[in-house]
Amino acid sequence: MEKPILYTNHLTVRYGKGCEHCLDGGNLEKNTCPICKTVWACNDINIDLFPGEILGIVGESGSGKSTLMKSLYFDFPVTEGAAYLDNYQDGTDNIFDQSLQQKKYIKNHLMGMVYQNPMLGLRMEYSAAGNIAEKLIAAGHREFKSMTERAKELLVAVEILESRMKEPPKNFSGGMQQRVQISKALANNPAILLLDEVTTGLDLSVQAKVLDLIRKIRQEFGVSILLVSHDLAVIKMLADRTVVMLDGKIIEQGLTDQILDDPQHQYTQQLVHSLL
Amino acid sequence: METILSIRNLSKTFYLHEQEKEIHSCKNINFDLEKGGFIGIVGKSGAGKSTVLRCIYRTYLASSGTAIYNSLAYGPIDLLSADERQIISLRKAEIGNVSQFLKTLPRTTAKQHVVNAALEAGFSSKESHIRAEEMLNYFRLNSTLWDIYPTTFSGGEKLRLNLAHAMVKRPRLLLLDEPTASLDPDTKLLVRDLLLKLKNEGTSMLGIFHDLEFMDGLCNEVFNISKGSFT
Repeated sequence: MEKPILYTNHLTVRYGKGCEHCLDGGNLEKNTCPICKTVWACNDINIDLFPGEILGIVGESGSGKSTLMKSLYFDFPVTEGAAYLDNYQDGTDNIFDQSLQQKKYIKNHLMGMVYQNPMLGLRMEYSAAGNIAEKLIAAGHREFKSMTERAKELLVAVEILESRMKEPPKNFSGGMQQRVQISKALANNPAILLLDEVTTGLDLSVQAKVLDLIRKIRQEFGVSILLVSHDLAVIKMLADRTVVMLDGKIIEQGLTDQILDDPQHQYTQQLVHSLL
Repeated sequence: METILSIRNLSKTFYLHEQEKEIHSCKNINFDLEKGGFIGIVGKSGAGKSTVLRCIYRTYLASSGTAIYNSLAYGPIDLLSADERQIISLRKAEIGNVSQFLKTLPRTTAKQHVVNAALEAGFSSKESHIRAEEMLNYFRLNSTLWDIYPTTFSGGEKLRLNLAHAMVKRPRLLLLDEPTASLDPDTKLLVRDLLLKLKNEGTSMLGIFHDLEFMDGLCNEVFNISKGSFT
């Protein structure tokens, strides 16, 4: 039986202490408790990501998609639940229970993250190559020459001209900044990439380049990708399977074409019928 | 003869939440497809033909029934209830699907589209390129079109590219969802010849067509579907 490279077990992110009404988990219609106003940003999330797979996560703004991604990358603390990586301690240890040092190891070696806002993922005042070097240094690299070579290799792979690798990303267009972020995320050959709305705000031709790049990365590097997007066309094009989130909960998951052509949940049907 | 696909009591009902309405698309469909056989399904628009195919390919979730497929990798497996990962793997290596519509990634040339399918099926890069070229030649797609983005192709060219994409992995089972709709008579004849060639080479096929003449001599069995049931 094929083993997932990443899976979560009842992952919950809650802002507030909760009360008798909401703590048993089953009483909430929306993600905010009407009694104690606790916000359940992610509520009992169980997902699995298999080697080489692209798993799409869709849902409206505020549904908990980005919170899930940022929790997995340790940007937000989780309230309850666990996540396991097959390539970390043979998948036996909950990554959220690890020391700060171990979490840094996981972030720098095993996972890469690309944020919707490049300001979160890049140091705008460093050069493009310097951004990649930062990630390499965090993983223990020290040799200038080999780091420069690696930065060049990665930037060329994402179609950034070698002549521009010493420029800071603040000089780049939005699409180029996203591509630098992707190359930075790939610096240490992670097995898992977390992509959070990477095409949002880009014009169509730039979007196409980024989508093309994601497909190539999967094919050439063999990485597994969690792809958050509110754009169903992006999900349709890339994701093997798709998870639909609403009010912090997973309401439906399945093969991407099945989710789009035969949605079962009322919200998913509304979402698909809104597709242009 | 080995049965490659056995459909029993396949039914599909759609529930539309907003309209609070149930739509019974097909009910109690039964048939067996022999290895190397070709079954045709005919019927009026809206009769439920595509629903049967899409339930088998798992684009739709069937409401009840079984579709036992004799897989090389898994042995007999019910396509209607199999794990999603198994379905993905079967789609990559054993089951092909061709429709009149072409789904490609942006900035992907015709040849690369076919190469990608071979890579997904597990062939090496070199072998994928060789197989892709073989398939494009087999389906008579002019080599001047190979390095062009297929959005500009004619209906016939798109269909031949679809067939090359589906066949590059040499599927054991090929599902054809009205592939000849909107094609001119000459291109239809060409597609018919190609499908006959595939059949003679041992590919098992299940196809939906509007045109009874097209299926003459191609299908071993033809079922007529009306109001969701075989008649």
